Amino acid sequence: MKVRSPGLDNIWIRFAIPVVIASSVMLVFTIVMLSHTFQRDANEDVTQRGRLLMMAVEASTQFDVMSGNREQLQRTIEQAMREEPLVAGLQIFDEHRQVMASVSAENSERAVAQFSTPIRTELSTADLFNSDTEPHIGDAPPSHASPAAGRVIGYVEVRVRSRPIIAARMRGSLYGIVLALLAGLFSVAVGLAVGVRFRQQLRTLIHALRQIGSGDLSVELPAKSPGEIGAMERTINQMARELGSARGELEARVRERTDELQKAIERLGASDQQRQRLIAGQTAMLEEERRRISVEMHDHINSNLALIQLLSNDLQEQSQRLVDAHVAPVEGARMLEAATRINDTTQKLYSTARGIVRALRPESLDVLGLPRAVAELIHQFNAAGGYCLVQFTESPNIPPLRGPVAVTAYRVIQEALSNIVKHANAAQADVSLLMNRPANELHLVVTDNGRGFDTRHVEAAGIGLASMRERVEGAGGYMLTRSGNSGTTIEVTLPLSDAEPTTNHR
Amino acid sequence: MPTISWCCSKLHKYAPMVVGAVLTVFILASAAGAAEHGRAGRPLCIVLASASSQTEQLQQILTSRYPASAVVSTASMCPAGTQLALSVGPAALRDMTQSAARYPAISLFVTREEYRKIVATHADISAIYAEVNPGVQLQLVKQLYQRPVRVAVMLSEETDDLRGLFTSAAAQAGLTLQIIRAPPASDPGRAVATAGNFDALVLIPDPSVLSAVSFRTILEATYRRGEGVIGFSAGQVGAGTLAAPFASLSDILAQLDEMVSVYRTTGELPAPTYPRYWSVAINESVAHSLDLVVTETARQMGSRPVGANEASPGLPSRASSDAPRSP
Repeated sequence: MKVRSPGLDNIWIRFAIPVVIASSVMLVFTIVMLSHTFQRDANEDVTQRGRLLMMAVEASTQFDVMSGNREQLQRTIEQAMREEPLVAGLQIFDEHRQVMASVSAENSERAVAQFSTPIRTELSTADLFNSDTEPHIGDAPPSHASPAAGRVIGYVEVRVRSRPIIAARMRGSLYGIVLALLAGLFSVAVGLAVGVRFRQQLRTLIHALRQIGSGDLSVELPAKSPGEIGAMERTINQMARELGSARGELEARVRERTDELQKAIERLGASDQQRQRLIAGQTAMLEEERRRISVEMHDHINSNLALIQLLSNDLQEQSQRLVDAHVAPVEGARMLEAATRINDTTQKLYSTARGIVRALRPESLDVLGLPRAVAELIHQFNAAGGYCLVQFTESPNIPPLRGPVAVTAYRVIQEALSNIVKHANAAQADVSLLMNRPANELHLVVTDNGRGFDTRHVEAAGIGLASMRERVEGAGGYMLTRSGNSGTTIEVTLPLSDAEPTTNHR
Repeated sequence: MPTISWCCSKLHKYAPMVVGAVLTVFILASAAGAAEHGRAGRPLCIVLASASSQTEQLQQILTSRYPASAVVSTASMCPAGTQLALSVGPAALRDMTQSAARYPAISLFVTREEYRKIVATHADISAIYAEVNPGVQLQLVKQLYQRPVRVAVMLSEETDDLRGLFTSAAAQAGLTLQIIRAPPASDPGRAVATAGNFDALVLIPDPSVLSAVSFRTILEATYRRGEGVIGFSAGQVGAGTLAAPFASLSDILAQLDEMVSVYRTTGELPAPTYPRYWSVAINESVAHSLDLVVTETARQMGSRPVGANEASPGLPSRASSDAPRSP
């Protein structure tokens, strides 16, 4: 993994570093070059200026040397001494090397170079009519020959020193270094200013991109910057506009689809409610039909069976008396046997009819209300002597419900216990009946410690859980099922309505 | 054939008159031819003692101007019967005076000082000096300065005889004359520099004063003090003098024609003289440096022969060769 210094991520610093390095290298290079060429340039300067001064003095003193004007010569070289601080000494000699004029610097600085040249007369090429052979013509064409150097009439000797040159060079070098330093600082400042400006522009761009990333497409950059930054700003503006347009279209499409989905959900909800109402209606009708059948069986079949049993009992008693009276022992015995068989059969039919009536409509629910009916159901379950022991827990504030909610709750508990017996192989089960007064909801929980089942498959395959769920949802409640290796839990919540009867109307 | 018979009758009638006219013309032509033959029979002899390119050019000009003349390198080679010899330059003049053969001669292109030193007592040699009259130089000074000025002239022992000429010319021109005595064996420039104040210095041909060295020192000395120098040849103006009156080659030749004509007419040589015809050359830059306003009158000073603008034999037209030159 590539590790980067955090500071280098700052573009301002990334701008500043190369600028500072380049400026520093330039400054060092300038100083080295200046110091390297300093002495050589100073020597060349001394030589050139010494020779130039020598030639100037030679030209300016030619006439005075020829005319022997020593006063003028002295004035000339003294003026040259004043004008040129480089001069350490200046002497004019005649043709015999006799000093005609001399001047020396007051300070004792040693001369570093000495230049000497003869002073020569220059010969005029004009026709002066002094040839003793050639004809003299007043308008003879001028001679094109260069003026020839004449005889040596004296010498000029210049001694120069280097300190003024070195001082001047030193000043020049210092100025150069200062200028280079200033130029370097200026370059750094310009580089940093450019970096700062670039950084600000980048920040603006990044901020705009972040705005776009956060969904704010109202970004509008000025797009006045030149070059790539300006192009990038225009591109971002264009991108924001296009994204805004695309998002508008997308949102419109989403709204359209959402409306359609909402309508579909509403339709589905309406259908579901209708289905629930239908299931609830069917369940109610079923329960009502069961109740009616059970009532009919209880009121007519059971009462008739009871009457038959009373008649068969009476017939048994009369037959017994006939046998005992030996009036007709054989016929009495046959009649007694027949009456006994009728009595037994009637008894069995009565028991069967009572079972059917109890299965169709738990009579205890109508008589005792939900909590006591559930308690009786569990008592009967435990009394059946099965492997599983069921415990019942109820909250004390549960009213004796007898309406559709009570039937639903009772049937759910009944089906759950049936499933425990059939499939769970559980040793223990718990049934809790709880009342949520603030929500006016009935809450029941059935748990067991059986082997559990896969809720993804069992609910789809078996009709037990599905019918339980349909029954609960038909009553406007909901059911949660959790199952695992440690057992199964079924939680059912049923809303109570104020119209739920708590008394027996029968 | 009536035409032929008519011609014969007319010829016969006018024959005496035609013969008389033809004789008259013949006699007159013979007389003229005899006169011309008399002059041609006394031809010119041109003596060129030096052999420089300038001398060769002069030879061509003179021979084209005087076709019947003989050109020799020494006077002793002049043909017999030479009527008049022309010595060209100092060397030829010197040869003329040293030759055993004596001819009447006119010396050309020598200075007055040279002529005076060479010719001495030879009375039959005349001359046209190379330099113009010093009085002309003073007149030029007067025209250039346009005010009474102090003019100096350096005279050596050889030229001291010009003192009177300069004095009278200066007085005539209204100038104040200052004579500078040329120091023997010393720098003339130094003498000029120490000569006191004057406005212009007039140079005259004097080998004892003027040399290729001293000419420059004189110019330096005068210009350091704001003094103008009046030379005596056009070349000196180009070298730095303020102005110079000079006699050009055509001026000299025009005057030579006149002298030859006089000699042939009268048989007598005119006296040696300064050039009659001359022009001026002015250095406008130097004049500007000296704060002088050169007038057109100064520029047009001079004396020119009649018909000077017409081409003379052997010479280009005067308009192109003798116009005053201003370097």
